[in-house]
This record gives sequence, C-alpha cells and structure tokens, in this order.
Amino acid sequence: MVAPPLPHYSPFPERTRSRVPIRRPRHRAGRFVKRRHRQCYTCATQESTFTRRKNSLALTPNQSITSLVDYRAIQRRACQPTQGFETNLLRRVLWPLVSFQGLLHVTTWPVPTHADETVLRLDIGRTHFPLNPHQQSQLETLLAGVLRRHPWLHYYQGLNDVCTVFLLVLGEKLALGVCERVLLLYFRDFMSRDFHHVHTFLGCIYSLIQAEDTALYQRIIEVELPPYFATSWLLTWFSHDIAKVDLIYRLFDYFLTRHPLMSVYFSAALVLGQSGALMHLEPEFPSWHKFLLDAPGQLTMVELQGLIVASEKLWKRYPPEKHFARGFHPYSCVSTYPKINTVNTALQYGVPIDLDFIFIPLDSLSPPNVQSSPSITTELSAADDPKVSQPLQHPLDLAVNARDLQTTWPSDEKGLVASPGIHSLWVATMDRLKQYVVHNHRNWPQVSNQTFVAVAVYTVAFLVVWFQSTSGH
Amino acid sequence: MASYAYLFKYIIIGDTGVGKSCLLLQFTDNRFQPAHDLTIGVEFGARIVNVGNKRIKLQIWDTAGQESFRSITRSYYRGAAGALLVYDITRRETFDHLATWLEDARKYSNANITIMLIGNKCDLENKRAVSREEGEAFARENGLFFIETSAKTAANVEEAFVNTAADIHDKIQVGVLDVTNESSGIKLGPTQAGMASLSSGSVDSRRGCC
Repeated sequence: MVAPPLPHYSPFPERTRSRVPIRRPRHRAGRFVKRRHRQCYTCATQESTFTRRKNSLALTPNQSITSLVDYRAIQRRACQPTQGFETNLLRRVLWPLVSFQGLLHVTTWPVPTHADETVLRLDIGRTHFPLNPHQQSQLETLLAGVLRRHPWLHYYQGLNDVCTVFLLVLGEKLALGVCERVLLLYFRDFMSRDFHHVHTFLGCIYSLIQAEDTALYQRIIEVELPPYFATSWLLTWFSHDIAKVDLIYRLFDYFLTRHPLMSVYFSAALVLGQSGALMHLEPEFPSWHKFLLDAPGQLTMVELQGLIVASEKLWKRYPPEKHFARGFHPYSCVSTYPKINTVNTALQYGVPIDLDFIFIPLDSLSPPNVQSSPSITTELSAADDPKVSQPLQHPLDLAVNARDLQTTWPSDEKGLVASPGIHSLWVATMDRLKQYVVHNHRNWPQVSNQTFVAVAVYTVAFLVVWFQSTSGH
Repeated sequence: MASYAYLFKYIIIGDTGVGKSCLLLQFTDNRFQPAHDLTIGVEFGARIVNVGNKRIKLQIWDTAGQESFRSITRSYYRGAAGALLVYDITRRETFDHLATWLEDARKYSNANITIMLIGNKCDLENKRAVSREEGEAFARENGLFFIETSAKTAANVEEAFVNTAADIHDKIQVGVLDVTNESSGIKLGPTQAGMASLSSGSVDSRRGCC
C-alpha cells in the first residue's frame, strides 16, 4: 500500500497568490463626500494610512464631521435611474444620514406601554416578508420602542411592513433611530386617530393624473374608481405590494432622500404608466381596482428606475408648492419637511433640525378625557410624572379640534351620510380636494415673458408721458 | 363560461385577524395560508356559484379589519347586497365588537342587505372562547344568518357564501330587491336570453331595448 501523497502544505502563503491583483473593497461612501474633501476622506478611511492621515480632514472647530457629506450627491444618486445605494453596507451608512440621525431634534414622552401594542403583537407574524422568530421579536421591540417614545402616534397595519425593511437592512440597533425619525418625518400624518389625512394624499394622486392625462382621468370618472387601490402604496411605501426585496430597498433609497409627497408622485407615475393597459380593460371598477393592486408586484428594476425618472418629471412639472399650495395641515409632514438649505446647514455645522410640530401643540396640551373615568384618574395620580401617563393627542388631531378647520374640511360623517354610493363619496373626496388644490395656474392665460416685458415697458412709457404732460400744465 | 344570471356584491367585515382574507382565499382558490398577509385597504375576489339552476357571480370585497381603516372601508358598504360579518371563536373580544360592526353595516349599507354572521376557526375547538349558542343567540336577536366555519379545513366556507346568495336570490324572487337599481348591489349578468328566466317583465323590456 502506498500512502497517497500529502497535500503540499506551507506555513507561508503561496507566492503565486500575490500576483493575482487583490481588489481592495472600495469605500463607496466616498462618492458622497464633497469633492474638495474627497481626497482627504479616501486617505483617511484607508486602513493602513488611517492613523497617519487622520488629521488631514482639517475641519475647523465649528464644522461638523457631517459637513463632509454632499447631500445633493446622495439625492442625485437616488433620483437617477441607477441601482440606488446598491449595497446594504452602504445603506447602513446612508439611511441614518438621510433620515437625519443625530441631527433631527426629537422630543419624547416615554410611556411604559402603548395602547396599540395588542394589535401590533398580532401583526408581527403577518409581515409581507416572512421573518424568523428572532427577527419577529426584534421587530416587536423596535415598533413598540418607537411607539412608547411617542405615545401620540397611533399604530396602523402596514407599519410592520415598513419597519421590517429597516430591520432587514440596518439591523436592530441602527433601525430604532432611523425608524423613529422616518415615522416622524414621513408617516406621521397617517398615524393620527383616523385616516382623515390619508384621503388628502390619495386625492393628490388623482389631481396629478387629471393634470397630466385628461383622457385617463375622464375614464376613471366614468368607471367610478375610488382611489383606495393606492392605500397600501402610500401607507407602506409599496413594501406591502412589491414582491422583490431589492426593488423595495431601491425605492426606499429614493423616498428617503426626497419629500414626503414623493410617494404620491410615484403612485401617479405608476398609474399613468399603466394608462394604455387600463384603457383596454373592461370599464368596470372592480377589474380596474384589481389590475392596479397587482401592478406594483410585477415591476422590474428597470421599470422601477423608469418610474423614478417619471415621478421626478411630474415633480418638476407640477411642483407641490404650486399644485398643492393649500392642501395640507400646518403640522402635516408635508408642511414641515426640512428644506434643502436647512439640511445643508445642519450637516455643515451639526445644528439640529427642528420640526415645529414636535414643540408647539404638545407643550400646550391639555390632556383630553382624563377626568371622564375615575379609575384612570386614580392611576394617574399614582404615577410619578403626570406628563408620562396623560394620553397625548396627535398634533394633527389636536389642531383640527382647536383651530376648527370645518370651513375648509367638511367632516367625513356628513359627506358620507349624504352620499348615496361610492361614486358620490369619491366625488365628495374630489370636491374636498378641489377646495384645497390650487391648480389655477394652468387655467390662467399663458403670458410669455416677452409679452409681459412689452406690456410693462408700454405702461411705464405711458406713465412717463402722462406725468410729463400733467406736470407741464 | 363567463355568462351568469346575476352579479351580487359582497363585503367581508370584522375585527383584524379573524380570518376574513383566509375565508375569501379558501372560497375563491380552495387553499389556505396559515400566515396570511395583512389586508391594507380593500382587496377583491370573485367566483361563480350555482343557486338553484342559476349561475351567480359573487364579487367579494375583502376589507381591512383595523379601526383606522373604517373611513376607507365604509364606502364599500353601500354597494353591497350581502355582508359577511366574521368573528374569531377563539378570541372573545372579536365577538364583543360585533355590535359596533353591525351598527356600521346598518348605518352605511342598503336596508335590504343580507348579513351572515360567521364564527371562524371552528377547527380550534379546544381554544374556543365563544360558544356556538352565544353566536346563534346574537344572530337571532339581530336577524342575521349564522354559521360556524373553518377557513383551514374549508368546513362550511362554501355554505356561508352560497346560503347568503340564496337568500339574496329569494329576495329578488319575492320582489324585495330591485334588480334594476344599481345601488342594491345586484346586477343582471350578460346571460343569453334563453338561459336566464327573468321574473320581471320590465327587466325583459329593458334588455330588449339595449
């Protein structure tokens, strides 16, 4: 018996291996560093030279480390037909950044348990992407954690899908801070007592469709299609509807860098993109509803990127400050979303971004319905901090009560009782929206710049002549 | 295949997690998903059933159960001819909330709507928290039909939908429901004239002119 030859073993790594070029993992975050800092940044982040070049970043004392960040470059990357931030490694760097982790001033009113936790617990096992038991418990901790810090927020079904995405990408620790800020920045309108404000968002989709494609809009009216097919699109940023997880990550890259209304523009772009197929459907609203419900599930990455470009075009053509000038509550996430200059200043100097809504209504709170039940009041007096146990109201709910927006918002109840069917309900929704949405700018006579200048010049000339003639007398 | 005598609109309502979507899935696709996705907003399913000698298409709207969604789901009540009000026999609170659901259904739907009370998950007999008698009593008091089903084993699922359809059909025969009125949740199907034996003469004449 001849023993088989032992494999060649050397304690030293093989020589040949060094000939194969080793591709260093490129620090992709570098591309989102401002150009003038980029050289220093790449040096500083390379492992071997880190200690030597650490000081080469050369920040002045009042500059924040975040001032290196080129926020516009991040936005550009997310808005263009690219793969977005591509890897989850990079997302772990950028998602906390774009949700202003550490920069957004967040006030909390921690409570021991949140009222919606029982519903929440039922939904943990019913996410769009199945989670293992360990992840489920993480998700529960995450969601309950955010809700307990902000007792005025209400849980709705679909938030579990949103938070699942953050949990899968960021892991438990990072996800908590990001989720909290994202819910406050983007989803808090939907987290009020009822879905009053969801109707505003849904109506905006139709308003955009009406402006962009009149024929499709006319058809929608004929079919009597209510806009509720888009409910889950807006409430979960499509994480309940899109089948592939990569696409959802890509879409979240986009939504996280943009305005809260971007999901509305994206939904409108999606419906407009299907207009050809919709026109050939039988004119029955159930089939339209089903067709649109199924549409996001069949998207591919290329189509998704196309839709992102399309929604950017819609945004440019119908900017929200003109198209939806009066549609939103002063404490709505649409009204308080930080402007790009605020963001840049915050990044530059590390100044926290203040969202007014967090301070104004809640500080002047008088707790509602506390006195109604004696058992609750005894519990309250036993609590250490009275502020902790008081049921806090959502600023949007509170402001509706306090400022009495009845003049502009007819109440849901009245509208519904008077209406004899889906059609009239939907018409009522549209009418209500029309009171808000100012799209008069399209109906105004189009005056070109030359005409305007010419009229101005003639007017001035006339005034001069008239003035001279009167002063001569 | 696509021809049918009538089209009935249904709506499924009830607390979250009682198995509304699973009932619909069992009825339309004959399958069961233990961990079914949440329903966010309103979803839709359809199937054709036979009642007597007539083919009837059921158009079923499956709604979200959470309270916040009610402002959205309410708008689907009015166009419905039948409502399936579902509770979970293993969770007492879902039975206790029936009164509010019923109130909503009565307030926002047609006066002649047929409501079927369904105690779902009857395969979990050992976890039962609401007795069959209680369900029957509630149904009797409020003038509802009652059935216990299991979306998992498909027990009584077919019956729940078909019995409701049969009652609506009876109402049409008696003349309680007006077929020509769109808001009653009933539509005439695109059936060939020979297949449908239409009871009402006015309907016949209307079909003739169209």
